[in-house]
Amino acid sequence: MDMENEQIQENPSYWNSVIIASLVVGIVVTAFAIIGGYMTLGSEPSGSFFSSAQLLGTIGCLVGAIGGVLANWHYTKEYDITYKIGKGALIGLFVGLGATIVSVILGQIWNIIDPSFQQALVDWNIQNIEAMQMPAEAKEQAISGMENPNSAKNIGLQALFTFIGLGVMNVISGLIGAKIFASEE
Amino acid sequence: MWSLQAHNKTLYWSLLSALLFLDIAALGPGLFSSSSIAINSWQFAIFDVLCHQDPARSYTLSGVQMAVCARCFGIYGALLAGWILLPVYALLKKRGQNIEKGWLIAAILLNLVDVSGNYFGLWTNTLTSRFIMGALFGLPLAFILVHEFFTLNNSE
Repeated sequence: MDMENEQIQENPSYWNSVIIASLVVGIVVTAFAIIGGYMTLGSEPSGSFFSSAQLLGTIGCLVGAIGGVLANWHYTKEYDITYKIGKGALIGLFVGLGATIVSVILGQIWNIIDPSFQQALVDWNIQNIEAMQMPAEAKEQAISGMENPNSAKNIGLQALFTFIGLGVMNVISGLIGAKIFASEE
Repeated sequence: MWSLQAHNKTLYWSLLSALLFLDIAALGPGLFSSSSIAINSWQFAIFDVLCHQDPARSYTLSGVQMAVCARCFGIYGALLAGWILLPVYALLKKRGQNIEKGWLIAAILLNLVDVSGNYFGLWTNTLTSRFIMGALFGLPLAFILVHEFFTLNNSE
């Protein structure tokens, strides 16, 4: 029993830190996506690929990649410990996974709150593509590629792609977080 | 006699593969086809929550917009280059000198100044200036981890 306690003290659980960082990243990234979506819907489809609402993504970018640093900072602050960077990378990877799950769940909750949101965005994008200056064949190809975003297949694929991006970037930020906050140097 | 010693080899090679994949994805669908519609591609989906993907602020490849903006491309490109050059940097780095943290903070501040100056109309940044600013940030992100993967040992 004493040995078990000693082991826990030497190697305390990092799940609290992972959950907190995942929630922060997941909530902020989803909030920016939803706010950006409504800002897009509030504008006229101009035929441009980019709407001013997407500028929100630049702030979301910083938050999306900072989860690993945040979790490692919280973990070392809670337990005042040092550890190898491999553990920091693992914490970062879990934050990437957690943030992806949080953003998918919140996205689905928002679909219940406002069921027309996703479809309105698809319709807006179709109108936007139709306003673009490009061959009709390319337009048709682009519009046909816009499948139902609420299908299980598309939700799964989007979650996978989000995890790849958030996962790799949070592993890197987890390494840096461990280096800065948990290094024995 | 000085010799270079490698540590955490599995982590180093795993991250090198991941960064290589991320950089290939960042180049966008133009690397594989010349379709003029890029926004539905898997490359754009990966960076959807990580970059604003503004076409006016992005390079093109084969006439197709890259999946990330010029600044992000600078970050990912320099991060990969820095990661590959980590052993070389370990050889060149002066012992006892830890400048990477300061370099990283300076690069963050420089990018903030660059974005703010452009936003308030003090100057207009270009694709090249954004790429360079991003690269100045990406390089120390790799170099700050040099001693975790490579150290220079005196075998005498």
